Amino acid sequence: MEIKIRRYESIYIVDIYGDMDMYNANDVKNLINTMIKKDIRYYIINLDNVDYIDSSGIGALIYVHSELKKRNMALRIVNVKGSVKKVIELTKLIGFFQIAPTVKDGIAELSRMNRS
Amino acid sequence: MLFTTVLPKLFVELFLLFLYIIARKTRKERVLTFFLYIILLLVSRDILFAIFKIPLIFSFSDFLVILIYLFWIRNYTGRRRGDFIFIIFNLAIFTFGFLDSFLSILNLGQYVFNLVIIADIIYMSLVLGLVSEYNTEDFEMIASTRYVLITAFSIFNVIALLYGYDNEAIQSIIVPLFYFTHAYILYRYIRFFDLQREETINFLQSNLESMFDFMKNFGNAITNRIDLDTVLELIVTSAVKNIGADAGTILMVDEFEDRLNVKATYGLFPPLYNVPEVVKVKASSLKRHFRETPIPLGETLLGKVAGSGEPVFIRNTSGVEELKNNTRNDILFVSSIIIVPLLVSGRILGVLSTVKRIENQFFSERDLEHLKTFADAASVTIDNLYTYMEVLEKREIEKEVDTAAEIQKKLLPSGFPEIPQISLAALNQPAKGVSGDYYDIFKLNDNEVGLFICDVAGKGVPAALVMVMIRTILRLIVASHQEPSTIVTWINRGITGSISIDHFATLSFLTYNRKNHEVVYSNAAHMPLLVFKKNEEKFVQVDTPGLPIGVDKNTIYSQKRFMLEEGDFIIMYTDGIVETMDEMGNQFTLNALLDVIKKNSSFGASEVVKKIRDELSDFSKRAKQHDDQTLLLMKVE
Repeated sequence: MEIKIRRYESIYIVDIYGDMDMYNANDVKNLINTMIKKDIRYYIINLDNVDYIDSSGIGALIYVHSELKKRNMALRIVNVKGSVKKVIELTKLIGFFQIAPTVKDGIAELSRMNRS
Repeated sequence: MLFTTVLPKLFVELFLLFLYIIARKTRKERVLTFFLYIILLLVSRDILFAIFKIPLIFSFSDFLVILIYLFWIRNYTGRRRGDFIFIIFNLAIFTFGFLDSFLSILNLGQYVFNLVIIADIIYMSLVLGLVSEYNTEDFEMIASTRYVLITAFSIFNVIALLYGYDNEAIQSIIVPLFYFTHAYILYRYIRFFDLQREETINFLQSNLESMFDFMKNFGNAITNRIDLDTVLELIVTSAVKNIGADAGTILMVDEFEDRLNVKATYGLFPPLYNVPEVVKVKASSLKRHFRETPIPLGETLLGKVAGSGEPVFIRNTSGVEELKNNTRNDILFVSSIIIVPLLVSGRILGVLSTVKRIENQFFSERDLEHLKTFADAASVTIDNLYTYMEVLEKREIEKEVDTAAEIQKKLLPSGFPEIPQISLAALNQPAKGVSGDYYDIFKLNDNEVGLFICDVAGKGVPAALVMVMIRTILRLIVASHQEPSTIVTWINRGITGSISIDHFATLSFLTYNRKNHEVVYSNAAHMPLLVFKKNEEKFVQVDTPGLPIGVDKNTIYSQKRFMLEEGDFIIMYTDGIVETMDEMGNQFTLNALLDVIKKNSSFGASEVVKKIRDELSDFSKRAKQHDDQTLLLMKVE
């Protein structure tokens, strides 16, 4: 798994490449924790290039979601599709996560929040 | 004439029946059936009396009503020798009475039988009078109703003795009025039952809170590498507070010496054996003496429990042979004792004991049950800690995964409960490196079985600990006969916040009652339940909404009810089953699983599970599996 970070104004886009499983779920958590410490408020996690996610990966997403929510920071998970979508659906977390279709939609939603 | 005497009675009886049906609707208590017997008895005797006009029918049925009440009280007091004589005496007299009224042997007057009933009432008064909080569970309920019961019976029978049963005023006014006594008793009983249920829930909730605290502390202990002694202190303290005891102790078995060593105490725990006078002079020297004196296995109360593995519960210590030096003014005084073994897979690790030390303060059966559950959790915890400490010593993180697998194996039930008309079987194939599946099967009572399946996300010892916590909470609340949705909601409330957020679990719990064939099912984002309907030869999926356990503390889970018929199957499984991989990376799929079950649906549960196991291993050949495979199957026979 590889993680890249892009920035659009005050929004940080975390692109994940490869599988999200128990061997690397911690990397995502650690990265977000570091970003929280830098007081970044708007996040997009892009799963466009993730083909496989296991329960540890889902656990990492729950962790990130809850940590950000606790601090009133905003997160959109985007490009949820294929087997990743299936796993999130199976665990009934579709309504729990705030999901947007694409990076563009995610940015639009978060920008609106930023302005208001 | 017939209408004025019979109708008021039947009217009141209809009212009683109405009360009974309302009461029964929301309460499962089987004891309530006693009231139904009384109502049926009253109805039949009034109809018989209207037809035959024999006063003896009245006296005889009064005897039966008293008998029903006596048996009802017996549920709480236990057996009494007097009842046997009571029954024989009455049966003899009434048999003779009926013979006499047909054959006219002695021509006994009705007043003789009125006197017999009054004697019966005196016997019932004696029985009720002897009930006290020291010899009877739920004494308060009996105490609150006994005066009304005795007074009403006495007044009615004295009136009957003076004026005779055939008196029209008695039949149309006094008898119907007297029937309201039963309504009153029923009302008091329901009220008592409801309050008790509420109290149980409150008690359970506070009990759960302390258990969660304990779990949290234990989690901290593991991460901060605190030593075993501190954990044992924690266990004793939690146990004592948990059940409102005055003191407690943990003794661990010393395997080389066949004896028990005192490892931790809370409060002043008096050794449950006699000690030299010189030790008794000061509390501190008594404490030191207890701590420093090992107890041989099989000797004294504590040693016996460690030797046999059977718990000891002494509700009231007065008159117990082993404790004859136990007097109120002695420093060794205890009023009530519970000793439970610490067992892991049949191996005795030690014993946990709590005592009350205040005169006339006693533990209840429920305290015993809770301490047993607590000891169960503590044993697994201690055992895990032993294993985990070994791992830490060796500093082999790779080993951690194996440790988790070890823990998981110990948590699974070792056998299935035997329940008629139900066959049960399970399949559990842990994958190397991951350890998250857990299932459990409970016999809730003679007719009901509870099935539980769970998949904890993540790996290693932390995931296994989440499993231990879920199992502990589950076992603690399953005993209280709550609805499945309540059980799942409570597990979630307990787990969320007690564990680090990235651990979550999907689980489902169901109960099946073989008498009314009803399944009640609640799901927390686990794979939906599969039901195979034998008659229609097809599968139905059942699901209820709700997030996984550990995600949101306020999730309220719901439940569904449905019926099963003979030959139907219920299948609970984890995704590892349908995602079994072959060597090419193809998945086994749900359809393949359904095919195997359908094809073999004429066999019993264990044969079907065997077939599934064979199919899975045929399919996967030597492919390495990424996830645990667990399947739980129940067939209605």
